[in-house]
Amino acid sequence: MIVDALSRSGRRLLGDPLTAATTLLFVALAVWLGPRLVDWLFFSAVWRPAGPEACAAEGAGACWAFLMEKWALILFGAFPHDLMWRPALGTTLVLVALGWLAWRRWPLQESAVVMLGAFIALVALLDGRPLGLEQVATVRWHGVAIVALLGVFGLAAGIPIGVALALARRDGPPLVRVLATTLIETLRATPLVTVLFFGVFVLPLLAPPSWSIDAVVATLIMLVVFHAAYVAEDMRGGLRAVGDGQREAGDALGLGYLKRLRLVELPQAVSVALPALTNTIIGGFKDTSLVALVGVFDLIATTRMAYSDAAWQRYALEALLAVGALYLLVCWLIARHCRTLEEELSYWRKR
Amino acid sequence: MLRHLYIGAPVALAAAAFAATSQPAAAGPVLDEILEKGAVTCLVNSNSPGFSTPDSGGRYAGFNVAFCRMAAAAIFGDADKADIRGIGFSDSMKTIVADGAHMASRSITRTGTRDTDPGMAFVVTTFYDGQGFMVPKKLGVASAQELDGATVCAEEGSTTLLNIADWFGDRNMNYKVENIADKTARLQAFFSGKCDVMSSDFSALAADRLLAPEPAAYTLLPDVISAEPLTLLAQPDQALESVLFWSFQVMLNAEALGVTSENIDAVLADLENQPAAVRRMFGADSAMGDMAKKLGIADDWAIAVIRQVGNYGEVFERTIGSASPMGLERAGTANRLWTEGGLLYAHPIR
Repeated sequence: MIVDALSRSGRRLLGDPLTAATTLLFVALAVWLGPRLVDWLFFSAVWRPAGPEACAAEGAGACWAFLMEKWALILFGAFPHDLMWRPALGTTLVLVALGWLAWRRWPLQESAVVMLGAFIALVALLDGRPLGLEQVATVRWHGVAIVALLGVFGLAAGIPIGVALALARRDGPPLVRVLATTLIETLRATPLVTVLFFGVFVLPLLAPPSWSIDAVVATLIMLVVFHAAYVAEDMRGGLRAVGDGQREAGDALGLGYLKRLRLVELPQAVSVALPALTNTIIGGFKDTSLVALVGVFDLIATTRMAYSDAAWQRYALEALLAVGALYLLVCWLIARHCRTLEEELSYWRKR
Repeated sequence: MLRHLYIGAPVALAAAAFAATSQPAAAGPVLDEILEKGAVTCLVNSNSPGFSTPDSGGRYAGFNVAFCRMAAAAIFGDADKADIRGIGFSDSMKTIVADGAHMASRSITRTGTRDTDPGMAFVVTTFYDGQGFMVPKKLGVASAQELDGATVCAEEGSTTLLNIADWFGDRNMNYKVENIADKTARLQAFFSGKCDVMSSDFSALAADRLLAPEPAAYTLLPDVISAEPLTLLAQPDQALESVLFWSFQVMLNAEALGVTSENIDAVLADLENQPAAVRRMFGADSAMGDMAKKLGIADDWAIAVIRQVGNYGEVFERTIGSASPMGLERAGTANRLWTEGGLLYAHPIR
């Protein structure tokens, strides 16, 4: 068995001259770079919370001391640090809610209630006034709290609205259909940055002067409609794949419109659209980092704050690596969960 | 600063929208609002090394931040009553115009067209910046006059290049340009020796120097070839502008008279034996008390500014000066008192 496996992988890696050369090249690269990378990342790295001098020493590797010094600033930005427990608790609640719903496989009503609850809890904790705490203005909502607020709830609200848009585009009266199509196509043809600029800088000019539209609120609204447009297209694909036969079958059973959607069409459409939806969700989550361009401080922006400290300027790479690793972890978890869902759904479909 | 130029259009739009609704400027409504609110909202850059950046505890610190704290110290007698907000995108002028903040201390260059826009008032220049040159020490150059034939690294499509062309052209000197848009790539090119000289705003060069593998191997030439007066911005309000202008003058006068945050208590304890100018500035029946009554601000505002923020020289040295990681050399620049050959002219407080 083992010999068999070895010879099989041997054939795969060294089968013909080109393959063999490529394999050797990559092995050489790994041997050459690997130890240096490991040395830089771990053995020569400066770990202890020490001053920037320790990191500037000859032969010093990665400056993790920078992260030890600035972790609170990177995670929470300029949110008053004596109130740090508020964004920390709020973000944890959101994560717990997501974990719970993922485990429960997103039952419709429960998801709506729990997500709404998590949203209210997060906003109440950040703002403070609803809980009788000291108010913290939205200009100080920074870091992970912003990622939780915009990244999670931008998508959480975008998905149902996207489904509604897809249905409006397919089943609505002609005028609604035209409006939905126009909205979807316009948003899909516009870069997210433009959409965000519109929300933060143009919308306040169009609104009555007495309204003050907060940048964080404007960003959230823009993210929701932007994600909704993409979700709508994913769902349109799913709905088309389900086909007219199912719709007619539902009608033949005497199901009303909503019941037919809920029991017959949407479950099948979602299972077809899931890979595309996964893409939209992961892409949408990563796109949250673009809000830094309109003056909203996500994790990347707080990281930039951290390495704009004149003494620590040189260690931007370490901080960005850490934030990158965090994004990688989150996106990997999303992808894994969606794959599990896909497998389960296809199992039910086969039956 | 160059990077603020492109926001002209949104500012003009917002200014036009604002002008339609704004009242004629009366003395004091903004200061009254600040007093009522109990805090002065001050906009800063969120990540400008040495000038304004949050410390590890999330509190803003730096040269520009000191003037936010100066305003709060003067108005409330408590520098901590400054509500300092980092603005990531360069829209502080728009925010001021739209009533969203009381003042901005954000390295904004005072220019003619900006000053004539409604809805914002330039108050007093806190830092005279300008385009300068950074060279490796081993080039052995002491002045930009010796740069004939040099290769210059500069930002593509910026006024930086136009200034260089003017300056070298006026002196019939030859030069080559490596224009690289990306800042990291530009620095890389300079530090690897691809260019002899790097040109940018003086304060930016000081921060860039720290990114060199060996910062001590590079130096900034004393020549400054463009004018960038970085100026405090306020919502138009005669009383608020007076507070800002005169608090700044207190910081200059204190430096000229040798009063610091450390020795001010000793100076006050022995006020009778101090020079007349010090007595006028800090005494009970002084210009300080008179101005406080007229403006409705803290009685001991001048004392509070020096005690809690410090004099101009102290702030400079602490945040961006040669003792700080930024290592900006004050000598030889315009940012000295006029008595020492600079442009900072301490107005009389009397």
